[in-house]
Amino acid sequence: MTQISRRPVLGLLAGFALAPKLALAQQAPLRIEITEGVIEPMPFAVPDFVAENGAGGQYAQSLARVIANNLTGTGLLREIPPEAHVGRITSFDSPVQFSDWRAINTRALITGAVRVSGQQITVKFRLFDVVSGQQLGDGLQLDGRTDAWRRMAHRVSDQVYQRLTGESGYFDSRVVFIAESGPRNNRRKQVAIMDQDGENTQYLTDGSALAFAPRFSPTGDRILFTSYETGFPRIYLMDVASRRRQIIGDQPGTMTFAPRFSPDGQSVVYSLSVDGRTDLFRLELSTGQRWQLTQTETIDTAPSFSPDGAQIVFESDRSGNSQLYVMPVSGGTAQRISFGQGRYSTPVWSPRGDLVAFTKQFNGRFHIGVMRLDGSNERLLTASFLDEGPTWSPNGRVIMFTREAAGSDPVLMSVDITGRNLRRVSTPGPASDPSWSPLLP
Amino acid sequence: MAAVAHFNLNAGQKASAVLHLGVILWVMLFGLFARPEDPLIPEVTEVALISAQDFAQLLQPPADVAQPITEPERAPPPRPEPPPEPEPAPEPAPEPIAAPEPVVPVAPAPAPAPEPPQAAVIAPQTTPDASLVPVQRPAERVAPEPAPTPDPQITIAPQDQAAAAPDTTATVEAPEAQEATQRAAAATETVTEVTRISETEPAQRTATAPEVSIRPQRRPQRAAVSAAPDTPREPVATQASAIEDALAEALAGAIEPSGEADTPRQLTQSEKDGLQLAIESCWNVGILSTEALGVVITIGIEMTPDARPIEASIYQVSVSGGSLAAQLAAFDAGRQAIVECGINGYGLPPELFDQWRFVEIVFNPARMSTR
Repeated sequence: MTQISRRPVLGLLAGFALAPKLALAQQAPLRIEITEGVIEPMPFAVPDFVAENGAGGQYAQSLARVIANNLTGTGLLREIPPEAHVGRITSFDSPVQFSDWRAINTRALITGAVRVSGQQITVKFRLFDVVSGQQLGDGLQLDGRTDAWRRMAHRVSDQVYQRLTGESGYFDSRVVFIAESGPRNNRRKQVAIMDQDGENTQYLTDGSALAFAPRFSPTGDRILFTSYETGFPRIYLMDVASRRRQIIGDQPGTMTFAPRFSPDGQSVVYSLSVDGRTDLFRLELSTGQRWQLTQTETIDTAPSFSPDGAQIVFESDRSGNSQLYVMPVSGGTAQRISFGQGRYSTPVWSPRGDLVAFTKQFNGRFHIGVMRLDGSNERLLTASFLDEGPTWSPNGRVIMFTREAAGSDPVLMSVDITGRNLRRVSTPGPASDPSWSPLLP
Repeated sequence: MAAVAHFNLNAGQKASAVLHLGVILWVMLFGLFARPEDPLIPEVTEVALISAQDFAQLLQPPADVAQPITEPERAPPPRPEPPPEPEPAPEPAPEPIAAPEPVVPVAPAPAPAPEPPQAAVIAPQTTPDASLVPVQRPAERVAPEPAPTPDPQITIAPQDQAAAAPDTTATVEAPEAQEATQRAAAATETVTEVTRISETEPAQRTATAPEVSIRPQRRPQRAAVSAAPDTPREPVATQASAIEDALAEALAGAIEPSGEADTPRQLTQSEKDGLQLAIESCWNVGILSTEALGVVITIGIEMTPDARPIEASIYQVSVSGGSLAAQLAAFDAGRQAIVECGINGYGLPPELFDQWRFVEIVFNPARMSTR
């Protein structure tokens, strides 16, 4: 009993004696919370890649320029131009003099090297956080044919973008679109394909018949488009590599258009118009089996699959004017998701699955906008005489669309989903109806 | 005859069969049924990875070229440990804290005595690193014919020194004022093409104009003060002593105990706010993906006694939300903010070093992600 009563007393005494020192010893870290930051492009530098042999010299600068243009084009980064560089990268494996790059306010530094042997090219790179003087992630080496050098630059750009932003890039991708030429009353419209940065344009149709609304398959090796080759709009399926094509979903006495692949590439959803009614259908490509998804007296068109393939968003005028609806992939009851003023059309589901991009006509202006799947958080990103036909970048960060000013030829534009960084996409001539491919394999 | 005819017929059939088979095989293997490669997609193969660790090994300078910095503080402490004694006075050259701490040697062969590094590999330092101060770069690296460096002692008139302590402070603050103007110019709100109304632009310019004009206004005031008296030019020694006097006075005021020496005051809220605002001004979330903007990450750091963050001590305390890639990007953005804005020290009271030696910073971009 005595022992029991003494121990707490001794403990208390010891506790009082040690209290000041313990309090000092266990000083908790100062804790602060940062909830506000700044939004400004991150300065980066890409000095010319190091040519590790003579033949690599012709690519050393070009690689750096393509990477710089890609990253600058995001609007998230700002290049410190080569003329301002103080430091020089003369060897890929030499230590980086970070003080040289800090002096010009560089935050991210990309160094690389290139070697060419015959028709083979080897490109390697590293990314550094200049502020802390640390390498970010692993360096990467790419081997390929010399004619793939631009793809290598795009791959490097994707790696850098992912490390800096935390999301995958979109540079190693292509865009299929309608290249327009000739007078307005006798327009020539060809299906064309190019790199996402506007380079390497090639034409997939000869322009003898009007073509429009090309769409990439999920694997990027096939496209769907609508052509008037037979005198009526018909849907064509084309293999990009062989250029072979075939009509799908044809039904005598009807018009078929607005096709889009399912996420697994096995089926196509499209509009079929007959007797003034336009309904949605789904076609299984391997079997030719077809399902009618909507059956109304109105126009249902512009369908787009959700990334999981379970739902379809489309436009319909069943409420009196064009609005957006979502329904199961098997058809059935459609839920209206757009309730704002104006007309909504050409919805496209984001690759991330969280947003729908659309065209909106309101007060005599056209807009490209995004909204959540429940119709909330609608944000209009653009405004002009005519903006239409959005398509998502593979990572769901950028939207490309067609813009046409009054009396002018159509051009392709891109905008970040924040509404920033609106810029024109380089094309050889007038262009419309873009469709962005997934990242190339 | 019938047998011969029968034999000839069989040979023809056999020859025909062989030829047909050959044609079919050729077509199947190399012809119509073979899927051609997409000529638009040249093949690219990723063949090797160069890990950061491997490259770090490559970057290790020879021992005779550069000595790695061997301060024990370079090891990121898992949790803060107390200093043996609170040091009331600031130390111009921070020294390793004597308290035993878990040391994770970064360099394979740490030198016993820290020496100024000759290599440019940046490591957390408790001594001022000249390479971190851009204005101290040699001029000849920028221009082939460097202009003669202006003598700061000439540009500052003795009268300026007489105007004294306030002006000295103003000179130090000049870069910060410029930085603040630059930050204010950075957009923090999403301005789309739709919301960008031309009518508001003049108003915005008007609103920002006074901030820009603040800086030129201060110089004439200083010039007027310096030009007013007819006092002769004081010798440089007098000027230096005036600076020392002012510094001594300021330091004396700063470290003078306000009350009992045994109970140092607590860090005030405004001092904490100052640290918070300093880091906020360098936390660039514009680069982050929408997913990374959903990451809440807590980063722990250890400070030097002159309130500079020790880079190697930066570690992740906790994180929530986002993928690994998003978390990495969020960590990088937070680390950059801490290092960049702390490069000249955070200006925390040195007598309270034990209160801010270890700091945990929660980066919560929830409010930024909606912009």
